[in-house]
Amino acid sequence: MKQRIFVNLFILAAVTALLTSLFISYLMYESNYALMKEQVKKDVHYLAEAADSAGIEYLLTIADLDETDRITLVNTDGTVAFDSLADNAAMGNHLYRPEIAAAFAGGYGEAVRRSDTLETQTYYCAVLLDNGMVLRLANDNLSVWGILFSTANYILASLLIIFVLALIIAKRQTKKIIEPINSLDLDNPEHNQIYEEIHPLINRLSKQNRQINEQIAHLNSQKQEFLAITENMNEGLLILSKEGKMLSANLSARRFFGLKDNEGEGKHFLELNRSENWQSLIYNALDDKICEQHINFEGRIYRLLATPSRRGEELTGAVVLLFDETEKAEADLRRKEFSANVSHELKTPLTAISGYAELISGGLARPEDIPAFASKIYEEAARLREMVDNIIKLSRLDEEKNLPQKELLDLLPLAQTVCERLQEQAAAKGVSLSIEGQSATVYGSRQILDELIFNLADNAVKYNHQGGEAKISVAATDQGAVLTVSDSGLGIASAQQDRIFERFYRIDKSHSKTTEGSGLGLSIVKYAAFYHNATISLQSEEGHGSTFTVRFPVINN
Amino acid sequence: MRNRFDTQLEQLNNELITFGGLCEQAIGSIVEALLDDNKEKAREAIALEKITDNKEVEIEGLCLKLLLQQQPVAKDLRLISAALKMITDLERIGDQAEDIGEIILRPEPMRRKNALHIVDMAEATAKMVSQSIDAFVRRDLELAHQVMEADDVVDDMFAQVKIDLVDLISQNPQNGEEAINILLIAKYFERIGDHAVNIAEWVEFSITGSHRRDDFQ
Repeated sequence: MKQRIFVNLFILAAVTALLTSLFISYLMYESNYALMKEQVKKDVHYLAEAADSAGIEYLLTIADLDETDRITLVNTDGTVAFDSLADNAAMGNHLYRPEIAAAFAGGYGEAVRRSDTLETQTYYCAVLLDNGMVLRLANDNLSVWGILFSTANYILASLLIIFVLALIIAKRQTKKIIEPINSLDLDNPEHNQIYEEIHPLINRLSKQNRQINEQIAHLNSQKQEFLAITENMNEGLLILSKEGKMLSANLSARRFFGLKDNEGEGKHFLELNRSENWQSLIYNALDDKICEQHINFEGRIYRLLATPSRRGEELTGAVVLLFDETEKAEADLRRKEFSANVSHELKTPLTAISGYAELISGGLARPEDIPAFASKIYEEAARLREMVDNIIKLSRLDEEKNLPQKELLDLLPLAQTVCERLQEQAAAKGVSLSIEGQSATVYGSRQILDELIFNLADNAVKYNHQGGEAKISVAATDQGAVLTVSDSGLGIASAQQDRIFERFYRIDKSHSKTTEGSGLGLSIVKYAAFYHNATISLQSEEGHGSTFTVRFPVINN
Repeated sequence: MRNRFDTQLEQLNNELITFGGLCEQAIGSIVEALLDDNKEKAREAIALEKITDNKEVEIEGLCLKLLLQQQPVAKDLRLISAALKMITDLERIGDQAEDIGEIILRPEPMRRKNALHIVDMAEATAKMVSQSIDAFVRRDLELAHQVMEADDVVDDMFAQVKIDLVDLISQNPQNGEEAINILLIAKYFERIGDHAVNIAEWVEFSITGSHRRDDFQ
């Protein structure tokens, strides 16, 4: 553009200068020519007057003075009597030359024509003398050109100066015109003071700027939304391109692959993990198949789901979802163990019951043994019923449905009733069971709390020495109510302390019946504590008794 | 043209990772076969040997093609020449995993192995292989150095295994056959460890341009 404006300006100036000088030259030529004609006309009359009064000889004397004017004297018969520039003998008859003829006829004649003699465009002016001869004065236009040529140097010089000036001015003007365009503030187009012609462009520009900004803001907010959703997902989300390169991954996925923040974009999926399952998962997904795999990784079990992603018909990549299923797998394992345990535990008393019953019905039992057998059957049946009761309770707690309503309760009276219920059993075992403390309010279910205290106290009595002691205490602290059940009994080895809350876990692995119990009591305690958002802790030393502490949360409002 | 070259280099990189993954899988199977007396896993490792052999030929072809057609320089040349050396080591790892698999499949039982250092050695070697491939994948110089250092640990374990086996035979000469089998396995693991170190050295070369063997000259 700059080049263009500059060239145009320069050409304009140059053409103007050239035309002007040509025109001026033409005008000068014209006026010079007219002047010349006028001069010749005047001169011929002066000469004629002079010749008439002083005689023709006079003409011969002045003919040598001037080389530019050509003086010709023509006789009445047309022959040339004298010529100042040419040899008169060689010249033909001039009678019929227009100016001569006109002079002979009317006393004066003029003509413009090419002179055969001098071979130039010549102006002739002829006057009839008194002696009947014709005097002719001629001047060629060479003299006009001569004047012009003499000024040509000046014209050329001025043209040159004009060109140089035009060059400089064109350059400067171009710069001036271009300047505002160059210094346009494209970020804020509406703030520019610029040519009116550019305003539509500027307006369009600012409109588009606004649109772009709006779109960017829109995209950003969408991205933020997407990030807010994916970053807070527990599941890992990984997006791969068609070439198998990572496009994006959320926090969980990055953690899974051990990537730092903002790292890994553009990495090939093989660089993330190269296990066989992973490879087959991704190759399948990129081959347009939905695929699922389990991967064991650093001791955890992940379920990976890969789906091909497509835009219209075209496959654009794959989306991989990662689920941490360690807990689920562990729960599955626990459930399996539980059903194995439950069947074993239920079968043991049933075997005893059916054994004794078989002896009796087959008549194999001696009559005096029958009461003892019957009481055995009764005991085992009671044990069975207790176990089934406990299983039902546990499954109800498991389901977390149809649970009793919570209410504000005082722990102390609850503990007292449990204590009274267990007194008889404690006395039979030779254990002294006591209760102490102050009233402490908790928000909970009477029935479930009763189970909790009962199971803890029952264990404290059951797993105790003859003459041992068990103590229930209730305290209200700033951190909420605290229930402590301690005994001076058998104690639990530290290696087993983690496991005693598991269902059917018995310290005595032989499932012996030396101490009755289903192995479900502490499981119920754990669930009951969990139901009340309480924490349960255990301090115990083998052979020196154990202390269970249940801390209930502070009641708000 | 360059673009195509970059794609091919990327392909080489991915093929190498896949090859590494196969070797890892083979040695993983072998360790499992050894620890759990799992004959099925041993057969898996043996089956993998054929695949790793093919992979070596395939990658070798790719490397040569790149060298001839693209005439790479500097870093690219280093990567390709390192790849040519690495695949030899990877292939040897696959072979040795197969050899161990065959020993495990022998009818003689190996009852005493769990009491010996061979178990530690197997796990340490498998870790070295994984780490050397990780070092390649992540271009991780530090991890490569860790692998080189871990070789001494595996060598010490090998010495320990030998002491264990001498002990085992002196307790009862009838343990001799089992001891020899375990010795062979231990030796193979020791060799696998050396190959992992080689891989780590070539990783270092492809990153820095200097190879450890240069230091000895």
